[in-house]
Amino acid sequence: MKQNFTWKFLVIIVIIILALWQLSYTIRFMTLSEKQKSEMDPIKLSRLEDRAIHLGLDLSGGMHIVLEVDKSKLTAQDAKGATGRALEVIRNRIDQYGVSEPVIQKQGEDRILIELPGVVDKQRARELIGKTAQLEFKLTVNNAKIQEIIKKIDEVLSKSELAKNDSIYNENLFSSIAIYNGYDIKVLKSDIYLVNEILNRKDVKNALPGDVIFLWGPSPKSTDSQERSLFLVYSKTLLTGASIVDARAGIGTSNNPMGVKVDLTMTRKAAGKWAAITGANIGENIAIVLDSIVQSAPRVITRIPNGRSEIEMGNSSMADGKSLAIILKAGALPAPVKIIEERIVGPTLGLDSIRKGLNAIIIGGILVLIFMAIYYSAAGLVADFALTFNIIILFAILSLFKATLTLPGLAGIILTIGTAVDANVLIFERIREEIKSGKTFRTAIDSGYDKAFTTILDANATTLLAAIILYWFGAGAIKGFAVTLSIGIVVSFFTAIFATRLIFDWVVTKFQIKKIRI
Amino acid sequence: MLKIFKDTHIDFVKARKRAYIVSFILIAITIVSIIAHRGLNYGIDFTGGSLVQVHFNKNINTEKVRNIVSEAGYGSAIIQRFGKSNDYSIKIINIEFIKSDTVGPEIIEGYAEPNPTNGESQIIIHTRAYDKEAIISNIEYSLKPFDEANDNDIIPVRASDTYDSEIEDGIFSIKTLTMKKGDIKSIYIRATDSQGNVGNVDFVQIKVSDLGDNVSIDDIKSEIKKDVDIEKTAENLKKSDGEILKEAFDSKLGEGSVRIDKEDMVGPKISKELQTKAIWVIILGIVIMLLYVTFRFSFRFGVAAIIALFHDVIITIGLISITNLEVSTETVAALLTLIGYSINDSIVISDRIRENIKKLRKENFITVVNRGINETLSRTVITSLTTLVVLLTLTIVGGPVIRSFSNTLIFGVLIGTYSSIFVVAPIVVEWELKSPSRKLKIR
Repeated sequence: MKQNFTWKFLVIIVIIILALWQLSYTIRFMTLSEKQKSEMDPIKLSRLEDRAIHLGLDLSGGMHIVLEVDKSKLTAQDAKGATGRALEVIRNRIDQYGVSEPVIQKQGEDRILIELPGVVDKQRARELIGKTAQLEFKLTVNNAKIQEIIKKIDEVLSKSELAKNDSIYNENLFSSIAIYNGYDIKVLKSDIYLVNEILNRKDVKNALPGDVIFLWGPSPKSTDSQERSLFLVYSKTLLTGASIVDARAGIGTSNNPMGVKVDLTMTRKAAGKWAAITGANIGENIAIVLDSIVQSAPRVITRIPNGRSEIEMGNSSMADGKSLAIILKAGALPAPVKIIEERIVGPTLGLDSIRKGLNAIIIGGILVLIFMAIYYSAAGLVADFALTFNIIILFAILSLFKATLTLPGLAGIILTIGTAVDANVLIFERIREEIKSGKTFRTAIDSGYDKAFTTILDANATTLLAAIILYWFGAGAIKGFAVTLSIGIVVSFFTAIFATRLIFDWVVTKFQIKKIRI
Repeated sequence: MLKIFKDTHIDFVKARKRAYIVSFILIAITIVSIIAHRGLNYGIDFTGGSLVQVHFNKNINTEKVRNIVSEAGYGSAIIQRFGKSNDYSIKIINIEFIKSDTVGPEIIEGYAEPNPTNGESQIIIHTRAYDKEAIISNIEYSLKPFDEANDNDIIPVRASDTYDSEIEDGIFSIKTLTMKKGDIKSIYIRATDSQGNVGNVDFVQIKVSDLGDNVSIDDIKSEIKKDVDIEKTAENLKKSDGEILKEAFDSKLGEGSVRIDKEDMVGPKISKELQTKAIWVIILGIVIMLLYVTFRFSFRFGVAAIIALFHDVIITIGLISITNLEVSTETVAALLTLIGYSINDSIVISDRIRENIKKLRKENFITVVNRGINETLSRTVITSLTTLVVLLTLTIVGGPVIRSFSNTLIFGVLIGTYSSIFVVAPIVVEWELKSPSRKLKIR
């Protein structure tokens, strides 16, 4: 019997330790100040954030948008993948904007759900999502000039505070991290932020000729690609995407029958301009720029008189060709999108909600704890222990399963506090009755728990069913309520039946107590 | 030992007639209130529209807020002050969606190829149309001016997406067989949008000539070319109601005088879906509970519990109506929680009655029922109390956002507790009195 207790207590203690350990991440993350966060190693910080309880937009502040893709005008074939393509285009734009942990999901056939934590620049976000993509053709700066400009930046930096006295890199600070290979400038992923910082410096900007700008290539898709391309182009836009009529990927270029190509057709209006542009820049590269990202920079081989160009893709795959064709033709959204739902919560209200929700949990919890202790005396304290245990496990499970905590979710926890004691109330009332009918305390406990068991099971099952239905109904934050309520029910069933019983049995056996105040 | 109820022997069954009257009156009040209020006070989740919650940095009265909001074009907005004195919510029902586009698409580019012909049998007319607001559906061509043309003369061509959603292309080909050499014909072009608006009419002239007939393009001044500033359109993306209001407040009260804390916009499609879903979720909740209770208990208890459930939901809705509480998705969550709670309460009491039926075979049914209710009375009241305590805490300190949830549930718990004592068991008793089941002994 005694051995049995040790094991059972061990289980409870291990659960408590694990739960507290799991919660320690949340506590550590929540107590970090903005300053501490900025000083922390970003990898460590994101790992900590990942392990902490994930807050819904109504608590963290942010923007929730549901878009609908209007397919009314697309052919059946185009309509098939339209939502997926729109999603990719939008993801691409949001990635560039640099929102941390955005959620971009397909919802049903023609909807896209976007959740942007922390973004409050509504206009900017809406533009990112719904705006017409800016496709532009820009001339790249030629070899000799690029090398000259890189050298110039090196010179500027060597005179700046960045140059350390003892460094061998003083002479070529920029050219050592931005390596020009004759086509583009390669920058290691880990140096991207540094290059951005350098390019944004006033002294560097002043040293650059006024008519050129640095533009990044697409952010590397695969994780094994370690670098990102940087291009130096003339800021003047030669042509915009409006001049494109059609773009198709195909196989068989004029030089290589197996080579991948993209055939580009321009409007008649643009064709004349294109002829002039290509004619004047044979041998130069022209960058295809989508939303300020250089997608490709093909070399002009000959003057193109009729608006029909062929872009040779070199060693690229057909998939690359297709995606370039999409960018050229439908780099804009494949179909119009419409915002059909938008919910924005400011960070102040979010923080306020967290504070108020936690206050309600603490105050409500303490009131219930006091009530139970007064009404059921010693037994009430046991129930109080179970309730506290319950809430700790509930939070731990939330963070373990990466569930999202919302304001209704906090309400679910509060409700759990109110109803979790129900099981103990049922048991205690039973025990009281059994004692009254003349049973010994020990047998009263046994029959109290036994008789209350099925009732508790039924009661929990109905509430759980309601919570599951609610999860299905789940509009955003409401799902959070269903989640915390369900976890609360399951956990409280365990604590009320298993944990409190264990304490009672142990106390009665160990101390040979004949009666506990109940 | 502290006890709320000391061995009560209340005759709940006898009191059932009075309880029926109370319930009947409450349901009647519910119906009257809903009629008097012309339905419930639905939030934008169900009506569609915008809700903007603002915080002012300085003191301001509701009248002033109302004036500024009105001037910004939201005359019918519902303005509510809550919480701290300078927090307001501004509810705009559907206004955004009533306002619709009335301008048709504009023809911005058009040319014929080849033009003039060099003996080709057909001429292709390329057209480009532009509409900032709505989606362009068709580009229409006609050889007669549109006001003289009948339906047969007008040939609609589905516009195709080329570059973006605002600019659409159409291609139309016309045979030259019936045209005589030297003919100059006008092709009239216009476009329609998805809202049914028709845009301006433009035309392209085509000329038929033979090989060697040297007509320069300049002879035919027929190409339509209008530049549309695409970048400007991107900037002109429709502002949200919150931004419009913020601008209005900033201009009247000074820059930075207001902070937008929350902004919800629910489109009509979503709100309709939420309406349907809300009704279904309540029905589904009740049906599943019915199945569960019938499966676990007798059919009669099941039916009684479900009647109590309807009773609770209806009267709770009545209280929502009387207090003019907003009905949101949170309310639906609260109602569903109430369904679970109400059944839970009924189960506890029914369970005890069932147990007593077995235990007290000699007693008559009414005594058994009364005893069951009395024995579980403490539990019923204590659980209601602890639940009410936390819900009241939530209402008081939880802030306005969650109030529609906590208040609904407070109403529900009160009614649910009442019904589990005064409605469920008495219905079973009533049934038993009318048609006794064989197992039980009555009186």
